[in-house]
Amino acid sequence: MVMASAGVNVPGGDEVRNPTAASASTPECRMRRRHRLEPQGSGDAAAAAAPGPSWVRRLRPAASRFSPSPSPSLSPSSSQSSADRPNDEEQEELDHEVEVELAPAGPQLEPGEAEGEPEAEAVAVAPQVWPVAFGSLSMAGRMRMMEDAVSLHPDLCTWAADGSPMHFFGVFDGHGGSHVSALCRDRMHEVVAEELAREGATFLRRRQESAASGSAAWSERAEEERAWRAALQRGFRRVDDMAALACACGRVARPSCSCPLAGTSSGIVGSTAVVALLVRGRLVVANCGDSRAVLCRGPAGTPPVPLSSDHKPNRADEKARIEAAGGRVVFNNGHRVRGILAMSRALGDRLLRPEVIAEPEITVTERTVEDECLILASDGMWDVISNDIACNVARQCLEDGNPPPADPTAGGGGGAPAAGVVVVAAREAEPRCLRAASLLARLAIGRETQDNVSIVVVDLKHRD
Amino acid sequence: MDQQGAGGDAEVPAGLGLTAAEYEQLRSTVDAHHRYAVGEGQCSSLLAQRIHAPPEAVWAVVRRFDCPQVYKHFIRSCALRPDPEAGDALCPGRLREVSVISGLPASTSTERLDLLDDAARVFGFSITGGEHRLRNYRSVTTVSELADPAICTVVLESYVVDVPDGNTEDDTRLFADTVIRLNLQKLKSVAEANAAEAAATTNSVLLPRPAE
Repeated sequence: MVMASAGVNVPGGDEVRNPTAASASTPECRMRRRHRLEPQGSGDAAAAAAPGPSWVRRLRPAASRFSPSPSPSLSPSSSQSSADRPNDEEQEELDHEVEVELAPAGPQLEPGEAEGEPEAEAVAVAPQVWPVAFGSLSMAGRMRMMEDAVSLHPDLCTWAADGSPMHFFGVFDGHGGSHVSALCRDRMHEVVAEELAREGATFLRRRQESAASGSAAWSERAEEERAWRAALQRGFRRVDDMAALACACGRVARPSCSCPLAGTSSGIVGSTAVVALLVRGRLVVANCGDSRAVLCRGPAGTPPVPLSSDHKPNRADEKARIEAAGGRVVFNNGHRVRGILAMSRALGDRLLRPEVIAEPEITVTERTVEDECLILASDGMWDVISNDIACNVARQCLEDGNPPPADPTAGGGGGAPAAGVVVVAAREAEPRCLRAASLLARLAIGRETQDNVSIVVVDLKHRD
Repeated sequence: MDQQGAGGDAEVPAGLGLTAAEYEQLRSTVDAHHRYAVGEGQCSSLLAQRIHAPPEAVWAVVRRFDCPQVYKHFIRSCALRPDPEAGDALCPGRLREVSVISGLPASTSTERLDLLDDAARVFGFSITGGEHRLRNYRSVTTVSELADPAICTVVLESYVVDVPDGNTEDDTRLFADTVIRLNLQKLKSVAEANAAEAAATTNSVLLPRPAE
């Protein structure tokens, strides 16, 4: 078993400071400011209806076939019922007591107003601030090399329209070798940032033209989404093109690499990619392959919202696309393209084109004040942990202000991880996110996942 | 591959990609090395690859039972099982342990060298164990030189294997053919690159020679 470099998960120099140490005027502080119940920026003024009297507004997710309608809020009494608890077997496997607590009341209107003044001065065009904190962990499963990679880039760039920060998180599950997933980790965020800058410039120009022509057809929200989707699609395509030039030694260049490793590279090397962009009150997820993004909504008992759909070859529309391309799906220890690859989309994998494509499916989801966290993970976790259990575990870790008796991050590798499992833990800004990721990883290993496990947990609430 | 009628001229097998004239030159090789008694619940297939390189250059790659990753995809590592009597010699009965790259429906494969004929350029191996679904897999690869219509090398690879439970013959053949076809394409790339490099070396040696 090979231990991956600890640097794999270190954010690229973007350090998120402790909120108590940050002053109100620093950009980093914006990531942690408490959500305020006020209308969104002026850009949305035309589209936003006048808010009702209720000081807690529940917003439905953007229309998407991946987002089932959330169920109504549970009443306080029903949220305490035993029916909401995991069954005994699951609870035992969770290895700690899971208690369903009534979610605390939303932030007080008055404190929000009190914080309004300094925020308005610091960021005039973005008075509403959406908190973001994160943690991640990767583990090599049994009998496998570590081929996963994680990319964490809070404040990757700003959106041209209003200067809002854009946060980037990605999980990349490699197969056949690690150099395509390593390429994604190292370059995907840079390429996406370039494309966002390009799309931002286009957006501003189109908005100006629309205003000058007095066109009534301009929809700020729809145009923003179109721009973000285009940036992600082109970003994926560019990284996929690089993958064709990637050598096992890590070099990406034309002409072909001439190092000794060049001759040993296999023709079927690729990676999944699930990427989340967080900008203002929206979650943009682009997925290619069978890693997954899931939104954990509050309060406890609310069903999780999948933000991506796994690209398995036997998914009906994927199977139809594969067969239309002249390929076939064969069951061979699972459904596989030509009996070989267990996913229908991936970056790299040139030898299985045209059936295996690198085009991402993209969802855009509106955040709500009740959102707990976002979980990005490779199939090594999702194969053995359901969306519901993952969300319950993450919610419990994030809500618990006191560290559990056996802190999995204490004392490094020590005895905390399962025997024979190598823990690759990075120093993260938010220990509870790391704890959630660590607990989920250990649970997956405990359930005997055979694959590598990589998990990113993004806290969507400000927790002191 | 179905047995052809006795004595009759054989049609070129569908999908082989060879012309009738080419296949005619290869018939004796096919008859001698690429015919199997295919039982119930088994399937078989024959694939061909043209390579523009001398047959001896191609054979030098094919015969490396100890180092298949030079021309085969999907191999992470390969180790010959130690044989005190044989030492380093490659002779029938040698075993190799192949580990497979991730993401595929196999993780290891134990393979036995069945045939290594340097004079006739015939190589054969079978799979005797490992974690995969190919049972009783047996394969033969031959390297032949064709002279008509142009000089080139043709590699033929054939196999017979059990059809796994739950799969059809077509499924099994599609999977195995895909793997072999990808490997033969890589063999073509490697052998032609080696031949080009050898030719360049020869030219550079000859070039500085002064005119007599």
